[in-house]
Amino acid sequence: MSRESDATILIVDNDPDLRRVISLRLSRAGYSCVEAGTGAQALSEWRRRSFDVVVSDLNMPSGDGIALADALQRDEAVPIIFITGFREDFKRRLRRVNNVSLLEKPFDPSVLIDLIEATLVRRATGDDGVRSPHGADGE
Amino acid sequence: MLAKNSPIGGDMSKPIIVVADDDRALLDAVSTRLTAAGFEVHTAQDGYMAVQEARRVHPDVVLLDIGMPAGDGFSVHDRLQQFEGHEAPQYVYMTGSREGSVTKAARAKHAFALMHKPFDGRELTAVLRSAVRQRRGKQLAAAERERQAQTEVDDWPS
Repeated sequence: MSRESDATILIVDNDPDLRRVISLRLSRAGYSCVEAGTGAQALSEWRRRSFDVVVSDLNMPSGDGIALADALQRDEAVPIIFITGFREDFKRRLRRVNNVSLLEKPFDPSVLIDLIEATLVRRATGDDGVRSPHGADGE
Repeated sequence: MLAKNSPIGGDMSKPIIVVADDDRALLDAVSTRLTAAGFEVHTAQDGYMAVQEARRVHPDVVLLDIGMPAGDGFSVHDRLQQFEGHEAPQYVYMTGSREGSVTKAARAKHAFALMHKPFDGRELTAVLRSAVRQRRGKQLAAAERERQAQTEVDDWPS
């Protein structure tokens, strides 16, 4: 699969080290990355510039990822990839959020990159419809 | 003992890591890197020694190669089940395999992270800092719960 290398990714995680790890990996894969430590920071970054994909921790102390998704998707179906260690807990609540994918911890970074690529292709072809959350790793 | 420049930030005791890998060169490289980053590092070259070291030093994180002689990474994890609740270390696995089954197995063990070889030293230290921070957060929360429970007992009219 060819890479959409000029894509910009917003990475949201309250843990600065995990944010850095994801940013390092994605930057190495050719993406342009911006980091945010809270949902409020993410919204502020989102208003400042446009992003192709948001990669966010699902369970953050400053408000969970679903609240962030609601705020981000108020105007358009922003593609969001949620990273979580508690997939089952959030599955039901995530059904009402559009254009979202789930990646369970721990994950292979190459799977995250594949997921981003698939999301970018979907976006480029205008397939931004309602989508049930699905797991990565072919589950 | 308090470390002035703890790698997880703040004035906390030095994080203890047990690293186990049968690849001596990788073990030395990881050990040097983590020691320089401010971790207290204990090494083991097989599963048996990893269990011994972990029982002796009570680490914050056990960093395990999945394929090792005398007990692979997953069996080391099983043998360390004696550490329950907030005393349990975090587990980070290292593997050269890209198979989804390895990721699934690590997930089933509730591993904190899975590092695919070759990995960047900066990535490793960031992942370990995060794992230590999460474990210590759980310990603080547990200590606070215990303190509150004790206060309730003390306040109970005799």
